[in-house]
Amino acid sequence: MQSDLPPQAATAPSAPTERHSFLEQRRQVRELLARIRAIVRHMAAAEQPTERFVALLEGRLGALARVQEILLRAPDVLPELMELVDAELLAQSIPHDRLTVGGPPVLLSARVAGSLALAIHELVINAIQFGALGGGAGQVAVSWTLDAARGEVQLNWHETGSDVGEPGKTGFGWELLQNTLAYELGARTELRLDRDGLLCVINFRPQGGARDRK
Amino acid sequence: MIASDATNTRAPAPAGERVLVVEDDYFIAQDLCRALRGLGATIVGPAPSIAAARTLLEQTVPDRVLLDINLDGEYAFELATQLQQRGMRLMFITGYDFAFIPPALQRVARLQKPVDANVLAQGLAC
Repeated sequence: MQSDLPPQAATAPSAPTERHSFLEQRRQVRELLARIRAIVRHMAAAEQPTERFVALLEGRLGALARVQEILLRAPDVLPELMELVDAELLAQSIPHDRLTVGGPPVLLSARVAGSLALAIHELVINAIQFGALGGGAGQVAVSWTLDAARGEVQLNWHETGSDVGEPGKTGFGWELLQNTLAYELGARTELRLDRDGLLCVINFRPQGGARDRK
Repeated sequence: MIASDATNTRAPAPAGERVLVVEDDYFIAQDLCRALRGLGATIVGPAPSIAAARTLLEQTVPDRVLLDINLDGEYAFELATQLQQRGMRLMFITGYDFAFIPPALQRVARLQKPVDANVLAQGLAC
């Protein structure tokens, strides 16, 4: 058993051995299942399970599954922000003529991708239900810029051309954008109405996480 | 462990304790905190990183610390060793197998994720 033991050093992982990556894979599956259970309980604590609850949960599980697929497609290949955004828009069959998506290539750590995929999913679903991707003729522009000096990405989700109400500052989506991203990534999120429609701005470190935050 | 309420019944742990939760997953952290509050504990944190946990530990001395082992790629073993030396009550809540924990820390109480609230209560009561 001794030789199977993982890093004794308390800080960084040692060079990955086959045994180590096996233990790591087992951990990742348990962590993901724990995250899913916690999300279900979190949702159930806020509202009684109903048909709507099940649909929302299925949507969130779909987003978790899609980002896992992207993360597991090949070892050591980091996901790009573009493919995360594309995957979430494609999953809801958003017509191309209602979208503009663009920004420089940005590689994400697995952790950032895992949190961000859920956030983008919530923005897409919110736009379908209440915003620019609903029945009207609204548009969504998703754009991002990379501030190399600060190592930060600013992601802009901008809805136009529809009667969007003031964003509700309760509920799972709001909590995810504000609290989950801040907790897990140290991200700063702003959600407001400008003169065109809903604007969500997320500032985050694409390879970083909460450990960067003091 | 002295009951402070008038009924003089001794509440099982972690009732009345200040518990620091160190967990990098927001939803799991919230779930643990909700379960702990339900058991009568007061939450310190939760902390998403080792650095955030250390900052909280400078400000307050909790009665117990629940520690995830891998925090965004950073291991909690060094912090656990230091807290153990200070005589603090610890529990690992982790997705890792037992074999992953260094020998010196294998006597630390441990629950494997995903953790059920009832199992958490039982784990903390002993």
